[in-house]
Amino acid sequence: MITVIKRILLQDLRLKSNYIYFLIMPVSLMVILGLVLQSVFATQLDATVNPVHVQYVVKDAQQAKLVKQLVTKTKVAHLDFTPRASTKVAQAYVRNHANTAAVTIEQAHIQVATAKNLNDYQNALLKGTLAELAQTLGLVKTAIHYQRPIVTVKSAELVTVNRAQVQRSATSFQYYALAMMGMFMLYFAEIGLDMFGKARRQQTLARELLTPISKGQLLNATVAGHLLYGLLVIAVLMGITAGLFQMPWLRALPFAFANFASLMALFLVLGLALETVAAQLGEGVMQIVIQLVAFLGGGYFPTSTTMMAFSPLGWVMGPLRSALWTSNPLNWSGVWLSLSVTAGLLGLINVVMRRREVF
Amino acid sequence: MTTGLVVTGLTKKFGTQVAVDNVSFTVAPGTVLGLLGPNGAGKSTTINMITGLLNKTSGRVELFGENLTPTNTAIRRRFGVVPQELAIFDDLSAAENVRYFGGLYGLRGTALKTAVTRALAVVDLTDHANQRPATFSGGMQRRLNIAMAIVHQPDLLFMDEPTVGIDPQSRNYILTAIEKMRANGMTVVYTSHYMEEVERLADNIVIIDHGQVIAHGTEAELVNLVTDAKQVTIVVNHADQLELAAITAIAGVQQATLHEQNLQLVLDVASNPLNQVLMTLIDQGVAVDSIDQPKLDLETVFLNLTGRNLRD
Ligand SMILES: Nc1ncnc2c1ncn2[C@@H]1O[C@H](COP(=O)(O)OP(=O)(O)OP(=O)(O)O)[C@@H](O)[C@H]1O
Ligand SMILES: [Mg+2]
Repeated sequence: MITVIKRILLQDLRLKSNYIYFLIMPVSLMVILGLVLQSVFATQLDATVNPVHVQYVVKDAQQAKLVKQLVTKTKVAHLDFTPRASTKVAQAYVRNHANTAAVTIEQAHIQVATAKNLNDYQNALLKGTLAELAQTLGLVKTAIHYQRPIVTVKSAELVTVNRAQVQRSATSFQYYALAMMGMFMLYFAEIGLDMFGKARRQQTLARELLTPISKGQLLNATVAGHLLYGLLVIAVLMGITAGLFQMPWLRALPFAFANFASLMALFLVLGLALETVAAQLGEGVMQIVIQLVAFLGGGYFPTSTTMMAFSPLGWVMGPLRSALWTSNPLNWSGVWLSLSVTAGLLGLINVVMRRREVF
Repeated sequence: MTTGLVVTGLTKKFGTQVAVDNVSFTVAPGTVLGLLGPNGAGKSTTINMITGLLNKTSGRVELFGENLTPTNTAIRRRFGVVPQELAIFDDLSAAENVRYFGGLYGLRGTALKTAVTRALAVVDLTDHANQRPATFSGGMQRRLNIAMAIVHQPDLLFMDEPTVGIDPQSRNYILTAIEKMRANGMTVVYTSHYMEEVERLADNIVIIDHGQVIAHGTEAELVNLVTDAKQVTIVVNHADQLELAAITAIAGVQQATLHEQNLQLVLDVASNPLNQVLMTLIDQGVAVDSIDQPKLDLETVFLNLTGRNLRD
């Protein structure tokens, strides 16, 4: 088994077309698409921004009056404020409504407890307004109670945003880095399609089957070798995109890796499965599948969640985006779904291949 | 253990076509069997069934006393196969190709290293170990094809036309290598449609045509099979002193004619009276200049058995 895996890895590393498919093409597409669509991304966000409904609670009764004055006076576009009796009430509301945030104000300290479905534009708006509010409160307090000279306070120290709850921003480069990495995972289907084709043409497959290795072992070791190569490709691409586009992989490193790996495994095995059942049709069918999956899954431009649900790329891209740029809990469903389908297909291939005289 | 390879009633049908038809033969350990037959005779199919690459329609194969079945993977360590078509990874170097197959046969570490070096040396590719086979000549590729089959030092080696389409030098090198391997006790099954090769190498020969064994034996046995008489031409001096009647009278001499200095004889193979003929000639005072005994080769045998030539 190890012998086979090593041989496959060596061959994959030596194959020049692999470098084009899995290194040069994805990285150059990331750069090109990122550059071209930079402006589109910016305006799109501005156009689709929804108002944020802030549910705020002020602990100190005296301060509450002041805050109320301040928030009614400051008319900020896309922001409105509603006072709530307690943090609990505010949070309950936020839980059930989109585009909302629960804000607790205690002295000059402001805490954003829950924020739901906020995009980066909304978030920036909220953060800026709250920082201003905190600064004003701090100045007023200092001036009234301590009669100290007025000092400017850094807003960052005043506003503690509960980081786990807030969406962060993605540049167009980062969007396409993620999308292209996902999309080129689909091209592992090409390796799957020709997994035994070359060995068959070179007659080496028959030769391998004359050695003590069994058909099943040879099959699974070959798949394992290519999978290992795939993992290597993912690691390298993650490294490159982290360097070039500051991809924030570290926010969810094992999760991101697992998502790409499951997608890669699925398409590798899908290619092999297609070759097993319909060697001639395989290539054409695969191209169509790849394009469809790429389109639906948001490989070319952002698509709706419904469309993404129909594409394995979407199964993985959705959770990945939310893992990297929102605070939502990690959603492993894409990984499990892909891996289950992969395992099922692999089992099927094993059954079919073992029955064949020469595979 | 005295049995080598025992093949009994091997048959392969591709649909309605019977490619191999009830083939049986045995190969004693340490001997070379030549499997001779024209294109499409069923040589490769026979070997592929024996080695388990193809399922047999029926028949039985026993190797060193063990039943050779597709699920018996352990026995595969004891034989090696040089396939008819080149079977080489073109993106691996010669040494890597050999090493890979050594690994598949379970060799590891230093044992693998020495086995690779040895196999490459046997086929004289040591100097090209780290080159890609794509840069090799046809003969070198053939030799690599062989090295990959002997890296695990099998007891039995199947070679399916290992010298097809190569230069005489490489061919001679390969034949010599096979002779060396046999001297070291290896059993070899060798298919070919070149009789010179089979005549040179084989202890026993199986002639196969249209999937059937049409003859089986040593070269001499096969030659005797098609003819019970042989022709001998003796060139004599003093032909005028020769008495033809005395020669014809010798038992086993079927025919004797004299053309100038050439005494042409047809002799019984079984009683072989050549000695007696020579003694009689000397008695008569006829000096013998030279004896020419045209060799009856397998080509003739095949022609006699099938009415066709081995090669067109
Ligand atoms: N997979 C197959 N399907 C159908 N027929 C086959 C198959 N393999 C071989 N045959 C047929 O079986 C017969 C024997 O073929 P085989 O390859 O064993 O001949 P051979 O003696 O090795 O010939 P050659 O000297 O050309 O290598 C041929 O008529 C060939 O057409
Ligand atoms: Mg053949």
